[in-house]
This record gives sequence, structure tokens and C-alpha cells, in this order.
Amino acid sequence: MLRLKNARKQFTAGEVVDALDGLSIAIKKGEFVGIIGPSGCGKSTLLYTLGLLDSTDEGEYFIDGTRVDELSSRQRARLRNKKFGFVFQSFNLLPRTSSFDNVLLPLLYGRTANPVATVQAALEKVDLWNKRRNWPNQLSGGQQQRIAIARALVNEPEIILADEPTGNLDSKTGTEIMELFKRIHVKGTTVVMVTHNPDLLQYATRIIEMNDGQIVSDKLVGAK
Amino acid sequence: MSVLENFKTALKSLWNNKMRSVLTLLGIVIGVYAVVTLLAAAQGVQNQIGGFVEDFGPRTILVMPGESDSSGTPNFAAQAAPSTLLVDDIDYVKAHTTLIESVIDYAVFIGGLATHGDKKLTGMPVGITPGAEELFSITIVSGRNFEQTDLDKKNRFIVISEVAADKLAVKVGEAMNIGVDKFEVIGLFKIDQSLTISSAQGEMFLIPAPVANEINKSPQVNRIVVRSKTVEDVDKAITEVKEALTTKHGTTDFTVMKPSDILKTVDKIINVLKYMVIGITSISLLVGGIGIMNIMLVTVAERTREIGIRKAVGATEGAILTQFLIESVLLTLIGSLIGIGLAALTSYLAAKFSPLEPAITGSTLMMAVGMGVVAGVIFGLLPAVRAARKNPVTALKYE
Repeated sequence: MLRLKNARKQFTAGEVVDALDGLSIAIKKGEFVGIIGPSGCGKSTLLYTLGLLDSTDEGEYFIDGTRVDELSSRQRARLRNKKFGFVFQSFNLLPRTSSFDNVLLPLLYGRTANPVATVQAALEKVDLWNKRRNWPNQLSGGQQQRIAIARALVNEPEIILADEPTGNLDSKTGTEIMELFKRIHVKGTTVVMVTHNPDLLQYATRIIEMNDGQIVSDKLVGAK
Repeated sequence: MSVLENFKTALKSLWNNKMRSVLTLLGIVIGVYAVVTLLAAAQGVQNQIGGFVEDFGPRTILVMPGESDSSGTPNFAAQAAPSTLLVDDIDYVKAHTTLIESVIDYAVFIGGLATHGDKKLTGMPVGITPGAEELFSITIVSGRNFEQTDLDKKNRFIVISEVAADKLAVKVGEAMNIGVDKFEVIGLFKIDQSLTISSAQGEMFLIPAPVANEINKSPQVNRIVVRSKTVEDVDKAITEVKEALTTKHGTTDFTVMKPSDILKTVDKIINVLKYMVIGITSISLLVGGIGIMNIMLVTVAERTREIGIRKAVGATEGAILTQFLIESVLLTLIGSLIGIGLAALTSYLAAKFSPLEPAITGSTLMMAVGMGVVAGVIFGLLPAVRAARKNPVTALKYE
């Protein structure tokens, strides 16, 4: 479904860092991919590249067999809107904005027949329809992340990209969030998750280990 | 994102920063307020003058002593010098033109001091024929005006302004003097407007024109009022009068004009004034606009993370650009509307409590709103472009 070939990306922040160093990867529909590695190994860059938020310096990227690294920024935005849902470590909800409006946000940039019902369905999936009027600052960290997951799910994307989704949560809440991801995955959504917490990898069906912009190991495992 | 959604988002953002929004608006409010108020005042003056001129009627033609200069401006010095126009010019014009009505009115200025008992008053004693009242636009408030018979008999009757009557403590039926000549007061009037003969204090004395000639011991007249038979022929009639008088005098030592010519001159001056107002107030709008740009840049920087989030969920650069542009336009639009509101209030109060009659025209409103919107687009563009170009990954990590 996603195929990245010989991707290179360099950052120049004082010294030159190879975030992606000739990396190739293919992700199949229905996988739960856990990407692990030390800080600065390029795992987040890989995630954002897969999600069309970031672009590579070199290399080719195909989604469903179509080359996408040469698309215009407008086309990439459209594709991002339909295809991907992002979940971040720091939730990234709009402040002073209700849960409902936060979940509605992706629908504003696409076309949806019945936005209210769609948002309601997404909020019910994370059991927070009763918190639809609350602002993020009135919610716990776990609830905020569930709202963020509802936002990622609202457009029914094929792929959820999660960047340290439990990084800001205590372990109990983190487990709840992971159980939620598991449910999403079981229903057929592909999940790609970046983490440096090895405990979370028990939910993955495939574990990729990265270092210095390269994949050092890639194995299929049985998920919990 | 739909326009409605954009407006909702923009309103919410402005609402979330109420104090800042209000302060930012202030620059635009003041700029628009200044433009609209001053233009309304200028328009008011223009309307008032237009109003005086309309009182004359479109067929009225005025002959004044002294030749006008190349630009058409009447010779003001010639108004003070002995007049180049004589009573028999009137009959000559009547005999040598075809396009004007047979009744020709005229006015003769005299110089005597008005006295009643021990009260003395300078002012403007003028000898007129009844139709020449058009020159002053007056209304009789008590007694009566003169009639043709008063002129024919050279009755020593006088009609004076209320103001002058007050100061001289004279009533209808009493006698008073202009210089050494004695007159009976037969009527009082109030002055509505006075365009061609000015008397700042409104102290005016009107006597039959032939009497004035008699007192002056001269056949000179200072104004001749001619009316063309039809509105269409006014310009032809002017030419006729001009040619007739030039033949009689052997030179063009007079000015023939229609009151709308005066209006044209005044219009020109006021239009220059209007452009000046727009120019000066544009500077305040520029300052206001820079304030908007400044605040929008701050807003964009503060909301970097929001921009990242929006891009992550699929906002295109165009959508982000539109969002911030609408926010700055909304800001300037609200500012313009408040400015217009304040200007309307000021104009209303000015009309109520001062002789000014400010008029806010549709084109002024459109210009004010237009200026606001254009300022919003111009000064909002740079911040909006900045917002649209933000790298989403960096934006999402912005603290």
C-alpha cells in the first residue's frame, strides 16, 4: 500500500544529520507497524514522510502504486486529508475549541455529506460523545488523546500514523490508548506507530528498528 | 473550508483576543472615521451651495460689471469700482435679443448709513426691482414687499432684514434714514441665503431701484438679472446678451454668467478639497494598516502550531492563506463599519447643533468600506502568505 524507495533526507542543524539515509520500506494493508529506535534516528521523519507532511531530498514514494513524491502541495494536502490520520505525542488539539469542533476539523478540508453524524460516530468510537462541548483544557491527557484519535479516524482513513501516542501519558492511560489502537487495527485500519517504549511493541504485527536513518531490523511478529 | 467556516474561525480568533483586536481596529476606525466625516462635511457644503444656486432657477442669467479673467473667474475688483453697467443697457438688451424674457431685473448698490433715531448701522442698502430678490433669496415676515407701482412712483419705501430692524429698533410703518434720504419701512424679511451679494451680518436694506439711481445721481447698475425663455437656450441667450452689450459698450467690460457657473467653480474647489481629505486620511489608514499587519504577524506566529495541525489534517496552502486573509479583512471591515457608524453619529450631531449639513453619500460609504477591505487584503497578505508557507512538521513542534 505504501512504498518508499531509496529515500534520503538531510537536516542541517549545526551539523549535517542523515534523517533518512537511502531507506526503503513497504507497508501492507492491515499491518500494525511499530518503529523503534533511539532519538534522532529518523523514525519520526520516516513517519511524516509516509504521511506526506514532510518531503524527501531524494527517493521515490508510491501510494497504492501511484507516485506521490512529485505531486503538488495541494494534491498532497488532499491525499493527506483522505488517506491518513495523525496522532501526536502532545495531542495537538486546537486550544479553546470544543472536542466536537476539533474532530470536525479534517471534514472542513474535504467533502462530507453529513458532518455532524460523522463527528458523532467518531466521538462515540472513543466514548467521548458526552465531552463534545468541552475544551481540551477541561479534559484529562488520556481524554485529549482519545479526542485526537477521534479526529484521526473521522475521515475513515486507511492509515493511522502515530508519533509516540502514549509519550505524555501515565502507563495506565497509555495502556487504554494502546487498547484503542488495537481495536482500530482489528477493524482493518493500518497503523504505523513510532515509539521508543519497547513495551508498546507487543501490539505491533511488525517491528522495525532504526538507527542513523537506516532500518537495522524488520521482523513480523504475532500481535498480542 | 467554506467561507462561512472561515468567518466563524476568524470571529472566534478575534473574540479570543478582544483587547488586542479592539486596539488593532482603532487605527482603521480612526482612519475611516476621518475620511467619512470630512467627506460628509465637504459634501454638505457642496449640497448647500448647490441648493442656493438651484433657488435661482436654471434659466437665470446674471450680468456683473467688470470682465472675467481667462479662467472665467469674475473680476472682484470691478465690483467695488464704479459700475460699467447702466440703466439703459437693460432696454438695449431687451431690444437686441430674442431668447430672453421681457422682464429684466436689476440691482443698484448705494452707500448711505442706516439711521433710526440715535441708532446707526452700516450694512448693505440695495436698490432692486422686485424680481431681483432672487439674488438674495429672502422671505417677507411682516409688512409687504414693494410692487412695480412703488418703482414707477419712485416711492421712498424700504424693506429691511429682521436683524437690521432689531438693531435699529425700527418697526413696520416707522420712518428711517439711509444717509440723508428718508424712507418708510413697509416690510421686514429674513434672509434664507445670500450668494451674489454678501452681507455677513445679514443687515440688509432694500429700496426701489429707481430711487437708488436717484440717490446715487447716476444711472449705474450693479447687477442685471436676465432670464432665458427656455432652459435649453440658456447658453445661446448668454451669448446674445454678451454680444448686445459688447456692441453697445464697444468692449466687454462686464461678465455674463449663469449661477451654475458659480457652482462649477465651487464644485472644483470642493473636489480638490475632497481629494486632499482622502489623501490625508489615507495616511492614517496606512498607519492603521501597518498595525493590522503587525498584529497578524504576531497572530500567525502564535498560531504556528494550529497551522501545523490544520495542514496535518489536510488543509492546503490556499486554505490557510484564505483563513488568515479573511481574518485580517474581517478586522478591517469591522473597523470600517465602526468608523462609518461614528462618522454617521458625528454628522447627525453636526447637522443638529451646527449650521453644517453633512451628507454621507453612497459613494462615500462604498469608498470607506472598500478602503477597509483593500487595506485588510494588502496588509493581511504578507502574514497570510507566511502562514501558508509554514513547514507543517516544524509548525507541529512549535512551542
